[in-house]
Amino acid sequence: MNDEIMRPSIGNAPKQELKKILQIFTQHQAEVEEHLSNHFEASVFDNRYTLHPRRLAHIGTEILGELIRFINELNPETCREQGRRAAAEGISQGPLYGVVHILRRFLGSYLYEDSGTINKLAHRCIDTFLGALMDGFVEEREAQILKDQEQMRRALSTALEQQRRELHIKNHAIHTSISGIILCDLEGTITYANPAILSMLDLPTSKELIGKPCFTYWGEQGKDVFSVLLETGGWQGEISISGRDQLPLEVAVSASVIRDAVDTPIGIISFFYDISERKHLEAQFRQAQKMEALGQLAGGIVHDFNNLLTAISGYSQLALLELPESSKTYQDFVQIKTATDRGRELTQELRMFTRQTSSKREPLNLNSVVEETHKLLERTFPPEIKIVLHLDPELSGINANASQMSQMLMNLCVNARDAIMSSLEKKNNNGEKHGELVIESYNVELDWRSAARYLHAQPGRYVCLSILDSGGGIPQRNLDHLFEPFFTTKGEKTGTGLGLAVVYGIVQNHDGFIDVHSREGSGSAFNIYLPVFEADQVDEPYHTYTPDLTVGKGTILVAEDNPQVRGMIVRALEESGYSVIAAKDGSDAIAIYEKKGASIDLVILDMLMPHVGGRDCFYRLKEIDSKARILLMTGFTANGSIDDFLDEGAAGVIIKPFELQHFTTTIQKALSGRQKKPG
Amino acid sequence: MSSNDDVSSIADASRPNAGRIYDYLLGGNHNFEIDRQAAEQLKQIAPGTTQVVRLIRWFLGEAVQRLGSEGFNYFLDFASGLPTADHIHQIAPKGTKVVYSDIDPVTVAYAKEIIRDNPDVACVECDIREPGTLLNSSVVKEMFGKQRKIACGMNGIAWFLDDHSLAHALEVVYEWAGEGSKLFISDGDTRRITKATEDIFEFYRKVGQPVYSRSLDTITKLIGKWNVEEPGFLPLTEWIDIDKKLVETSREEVVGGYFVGAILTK
Repeated sequence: MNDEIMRPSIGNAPKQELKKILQIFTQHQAEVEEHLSNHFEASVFDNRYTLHPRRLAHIGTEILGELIRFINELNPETCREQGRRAAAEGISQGPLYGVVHILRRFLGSYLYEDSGTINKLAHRCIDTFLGALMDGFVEEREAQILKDQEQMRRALSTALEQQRRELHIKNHAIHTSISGIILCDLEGTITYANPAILSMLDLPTSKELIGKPCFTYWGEQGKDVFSVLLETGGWQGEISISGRDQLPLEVAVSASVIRDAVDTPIGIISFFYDISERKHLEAQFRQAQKMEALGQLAGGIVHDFNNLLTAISGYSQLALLELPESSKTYQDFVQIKTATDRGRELTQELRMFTRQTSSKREPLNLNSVVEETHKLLERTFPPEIKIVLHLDPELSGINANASQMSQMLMNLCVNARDAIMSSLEKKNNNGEKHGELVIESYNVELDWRSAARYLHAQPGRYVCLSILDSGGGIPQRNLDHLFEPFFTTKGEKTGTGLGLAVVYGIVQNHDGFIDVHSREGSGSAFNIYLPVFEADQVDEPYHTYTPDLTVGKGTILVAEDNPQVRGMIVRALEESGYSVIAAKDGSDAIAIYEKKGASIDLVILDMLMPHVGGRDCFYRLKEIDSKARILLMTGFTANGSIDDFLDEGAAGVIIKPFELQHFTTTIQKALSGRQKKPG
Repeated sequence: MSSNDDVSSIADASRPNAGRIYDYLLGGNHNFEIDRQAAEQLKQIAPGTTQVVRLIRWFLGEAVQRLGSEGFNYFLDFASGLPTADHIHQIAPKGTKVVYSDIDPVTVAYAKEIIRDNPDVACVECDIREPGTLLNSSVVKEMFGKQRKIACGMNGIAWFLDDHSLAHALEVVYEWAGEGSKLFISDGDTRRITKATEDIFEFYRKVGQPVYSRSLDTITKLIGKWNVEEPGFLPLTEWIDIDKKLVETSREEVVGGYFVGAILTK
């Protein structure tokens, strides 16, 4: 209430009249206080909870006291202050307004006899007092409400900001996901596509997808799946889509219905996961299993085949020693010998595929192998093929068998040569006359992510040898069979189909892996990864063994379970001047040695015999005579036991099938006491 | 719906919230129109609600003043609702550490906003049926450190818990609290149930919130190892020293008599 309005109405009132009004209140103060206290206590549950019930008894007194002060001083500010305190304490508006009625009723009971002037003045005093009181009360209540509502507003604002951040994150989560995501409405119309799916489909913008049916991208069964999706709630499948450069991309798709808080469908979301890598690894795994099975099969065949070749080759050589060179029969045996030589090459290659080869390795720089092989290629390759070398001079060393590395590289280059020449023949009409074979070497470090792409790869440092050809490329359907033995796309006369199988076996044997990239019409790249040998690099030249031919003297015990092989060896040794005792197996050899060991100069021991095998026989003979000279004969050395036996006193090892010249030289050296490398 | 979605729904002022409704019933301003409408509906069905909520809050005030004057300056509270005026931290002596808790994440979010300028006060989301969530929270660890002689409130919540849950909550707090700790609790006494009280419980049952009535004998068994401090379990009206006649002459039927409160000690 405006003080200026109030003063004329009360401020100008006769002081006598005001005094009389004051007297009434002060004389009957206790009665008024009781009325007011009862009034407030009756409203115990009407006020804000902050007003404790115990206060109720005192509020009336305070209000009355303030009224009396007001009539005395006519200062409305103290009334307003009282109103503010009442609001702060929690008194509600209703009980406050009720004070007016109580005071008026009270006045009415005491002033009814008075003239209208005092009565009216008294009422004006009460109204003015209460007006000021309510001014203060409302001001404070409004401030309270504003303050409390401001807290609510801040809470809302914080929540909205948090919600905005959450939405921002969720939006970006979808937008930046490496999985492809498509959103569509319940009719299946695409409303959003994230960059990942655009990349998978090789589309420049999402405009290419927006508005289209989402089930178009769910494979052949997409439409059927969509028709029941609302019932099923979700679907998963694997499909092949045409990705970048029209290449097929294996993708796992999952589609599900988006529902709101009350389970009402509001949209559909599809996820697309590139599973090409997984498929690639699965294919590698299947291939590895297949190769393993083939290897086991081939391994079994190699052993028996070796024995047959040994017998045929040996007897052929013995016959050639007897026959005159001019005779027709001599030529026949030469052909037989040539055929068995060829058979031996085949078993050599098969052994490499099955990893039944010497595991003797040395620190080696692949660049030296490449350079040696390059010289041979330059001499033997057709002039139409240009050979280019890009060799890293800082190439790390590997721990490898040099001759196997050479074999591997040669096989790959021969394969590349054949591909280039075949391509040139087909392209001859276009006038293309040259092809290119590039051999690269470089160091590479595979992290876990790169290594995970290859079944047999571990993270770490590798040396990579790449053979790239400008041939016609390999059809996709052949890539899975590339390393299978006897798989060939060439004519019968140009290949046995073991070249790449040998490469596979060699690489596996050296804990490496092969990565082939090829596309029809664009050539091929064979990348051979071999683990780095963490030691000083040494360029060890590789060399071959050149035997001497010699005869000798002495008594030799031959333990060989195969009768043809045993017969051939006995005869060869006798022809070479030795006395020979034959044993049909390990136990027979032990029994003979126990009786005649003192007269036996050398034991030739086949490692694979029934009952008492070569290993047990070796140890038993050594027990009988620690100085016994024992030459081991085998066609299977995959477990690296050669070195073990040499360390334990074996006189040497001979690998079947063998040349008789080489065989007799080995005998002579064994008898002389020198250890030699297996040949 | 995830907890994050519940927090986000603070921004949704179109749905009533239990904490805001309670605040309105207490005469507060921390509520929206939707909450006031819901509260008015409740008052029509159960007119005694306004009495009950005030009695419960006044009992809290009595307990806190008493415990504060005994020197307790670490308070934990379960089912706190919104920590607006005259809650523990404004009644207890200045500097008292208070950690409120509530099962409703929206209420907790609002609470955090209300108390955010007060370093001595915090609020944690916790279901009293798993009191360890509060007791072992990082907030309590940070604010209380190794202090275990604490005052704990389980005010206005016991009748929403079945016997097993109530006994479990009391036991877990007992085991966690240190020697000399105290706990103030309010519950109902079936001997004093009235029609007005029944109306309130019926409303809660209809909205899917079960209410559990028990006798004083049952309550004294459920408190387990806690000892009941004098003056024992009293009706809330006696705690607050509201003259019976005063209550009886109020416009609504008396409901305060059903509810009893006590201070327990370890």
